[in-house]
Amino acid sequence: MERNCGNRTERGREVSRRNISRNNGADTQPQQREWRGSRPGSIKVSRSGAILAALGLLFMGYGASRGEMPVVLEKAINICMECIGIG
Amino acid sequence: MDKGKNANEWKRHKVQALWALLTNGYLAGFAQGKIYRGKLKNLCVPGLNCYSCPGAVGACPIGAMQAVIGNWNFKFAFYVAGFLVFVGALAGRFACGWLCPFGLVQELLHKIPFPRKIKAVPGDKLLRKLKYAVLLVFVILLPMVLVDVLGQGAPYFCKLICPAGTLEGGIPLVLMNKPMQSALGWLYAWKNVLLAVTIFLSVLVYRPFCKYICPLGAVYSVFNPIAVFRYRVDKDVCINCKACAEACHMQVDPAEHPNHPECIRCGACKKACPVDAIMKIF
Repeated sequence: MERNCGNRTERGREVSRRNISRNNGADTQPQQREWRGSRPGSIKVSRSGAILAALGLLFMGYGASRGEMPVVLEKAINICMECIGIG
Repeated sequence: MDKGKNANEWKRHKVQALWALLTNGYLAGFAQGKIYRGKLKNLCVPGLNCYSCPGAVGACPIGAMQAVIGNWNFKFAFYVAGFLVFVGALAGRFACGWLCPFGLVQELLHKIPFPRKIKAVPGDKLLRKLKYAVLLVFVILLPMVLVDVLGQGAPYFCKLICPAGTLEGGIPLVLMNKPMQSALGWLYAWKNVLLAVTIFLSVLVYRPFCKYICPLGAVYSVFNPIAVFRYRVDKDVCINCKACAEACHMQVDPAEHPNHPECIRCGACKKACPVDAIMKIF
């Protein structure tokens, strides 16, 4: 019911404020925020994604240079009898 | 809430439909019963889209991969594999949720009212692994190993399994070509049975083909945890209400695993979160 209140962002901010005020109490040690997925500021994971994307481009270039594209084109511009269930 | 969820879903369907139109925009093909034969077909599209669809202007990456692997000249498809790695590494299964025409077809079918929709299929966890076996056996191994006297392998996934090929290519081409109608046999019947089963199951289960069979989804799923585009959950804000898990049609718990291999990045969890704890990051 609570999540039907229609003011989702306000609720989020309120929860965040509560957590922040809890963290800023008597304990002066900065608390580590808990994240699932990747932490902000940590770009290690996305960097590996970017490296892989670059590797993908390299693969594409290598494949194209050794003549794979004409094979794809030839298959794609002729009706593939197997694909449609005849051949 | 439901209104907002539906608006979000229809917005995504509009993008899916627009993309399907864009990549199947050769309308003359539908009128003449022919397929597009231009240079654009050098390029792959990110979704499962049969290149024998009369409207298709690009190549299906799964079909293209089998074509290159099955070619007597090559034993590995660097060009297509590179394309899949590139798309996967950028956005994981985003293409499944937003750019796959066959995914759209299944989602629309699932909107048909039915007395009892099935959320969790018995053996769901094990069945989800099936798509990796399909990828390995039908897309890679069989075209590589089962070759004819010339050393050419057939596209076994397209030939024996793919219902997208039957729907997008087989049915329209056969309807418009008399000579093809006389060549129909057991294979066409088998593929139509598979298509009928997929259609019926799609009414009951959300995207059954994507969940259990699709080799393209299998490839992209591997990249979900490391892709450039990902989800992040702020555990300080998350109130553990499980609204996101409830909203997820792919049965993922985004609060626990925001970058789960099964997530198709549809955004339903983000929309359902009452405290905006799920964020997109690049």
